[in-house]
Order: sequence, then structure tokens, then C-alpha cells
Amino acid sequence: MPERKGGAAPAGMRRRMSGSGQEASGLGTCFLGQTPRDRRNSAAILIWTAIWAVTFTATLWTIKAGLAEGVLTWGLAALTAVTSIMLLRSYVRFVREADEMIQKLYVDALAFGFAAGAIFFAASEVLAALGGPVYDNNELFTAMCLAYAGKVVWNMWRLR
Amino acid sequence: MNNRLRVLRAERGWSQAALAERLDVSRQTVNAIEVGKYDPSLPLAFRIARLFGQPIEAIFHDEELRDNAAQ
Repeated sequence: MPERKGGAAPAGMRRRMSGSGQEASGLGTCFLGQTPRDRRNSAAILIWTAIWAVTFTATLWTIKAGLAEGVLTWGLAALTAVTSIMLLRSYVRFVREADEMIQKLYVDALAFGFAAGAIFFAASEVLAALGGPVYDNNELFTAMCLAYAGKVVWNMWRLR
Repeated sequence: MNNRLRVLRAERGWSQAALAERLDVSRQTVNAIEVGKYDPSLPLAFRIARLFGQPIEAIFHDEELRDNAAQ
């Protein structure tokens, strides 16, 4: 096999090379263009996002409705914090272990989102001083997330 | 930076997905390298060279270097 020349293949490559014909065709493990590792890490983010959203909403609703008091309130808050940390951990893992170009795209989008947030913050302060609308932290966070998500989509489309 | 990745892949009858799987990268990465929108890292360039059994410089060409040599 020509690919065996010039030294041993990396561990991941050796595993795939020794697989079935379907795997070698790229249809078995390269669904939607992602590597199996990226697909697994993406799924972990989705799962933790869903868990976090449910926990966050339930905690907020329970506390605001006055259904929980004392230790239970702190327990719910701790549960939300734990799910937030797990979500953050899954995202960091995805970016760190991602295919090198995908990693570059995401880091680029993170930088863009951060810069957009900083600009939005500065501009909104100036606008507020001029008598314009006053934006709160939620809107700042939303602007950052939208800029980040938009940049991810744009980068993916550009290099599709 | 130009490269012969598409030609080498076509010679072996591999799809982009199949090559991506052999290199342990995404199909988008293979496509971006082929069309010259993305330059691979040195470790990936070595993996590509090893896979096709050729030296890196036989696959990737530095246009600037070539222009300087021509002058």
C-alpha cells in the first residue's frame, strides 16, 4: 500500500486503515464531513446544552415562584453551576480536540465574538450618554453570541 | 501555497471523505487544502506526504519561492 511508505501511520490512521471497506470509503465514519471525534464532542455539547437549559430554567422558575427555600435553593443553584461547568468543559474539549482547520475557524469566531461584544459595549455606553437606548448585560451577551455564531457559520460556508 | 493533493487523490480513486478519514481530519479540511484556501500544519503536511509516499515538497509548492527562483 502506498500509504505505508515513509514510516508508520498515526494511531488513529492505523485503526481506520485496518477497518472494513465501508470505513475506508469514508462513508462509515466521516458522516457530514466531521471526524468521529468531532462528531462525538459536538454531541456532548448538544447534550450538556440541553441539560443546562433545563436545569437553568427549572432553577430560575422554582426560585422565582417561591417553591424552594433555604438549602434547596442553594442546591438548585449549585446544580445549575455544575451543569454550566460541564457545558463549558465539553465546549473547551471540542475546540481543543477539533480537527486543525475547524479549531482555527472556532478560535477565529471566538475572537470575532469577543471583539463584537467589546465594540457593542463601548458603542452602547456612548449612545446611552447621548440619550439613546440603554442596553443591559443580557443584550451585550446576546450580541456576542450572535456575532460568534454568525462568524462560525460564515467561516464554515467560506471553507465548505 | 499550491499543492497536488487533488491529483494524487484522484490517481488513487479516493473521495475527499475517504482521504479525510485516512488523515484523521474533516472533509472540509481536505477540500480547503485542495482549493488552496487553507495551508495545513506541518504535522498534517507530513501525514499527507507519508500517506502518498512522497516528500512534502513534491506535494506542496511555495509560489513565492518559485517566483524568486524564476527571477
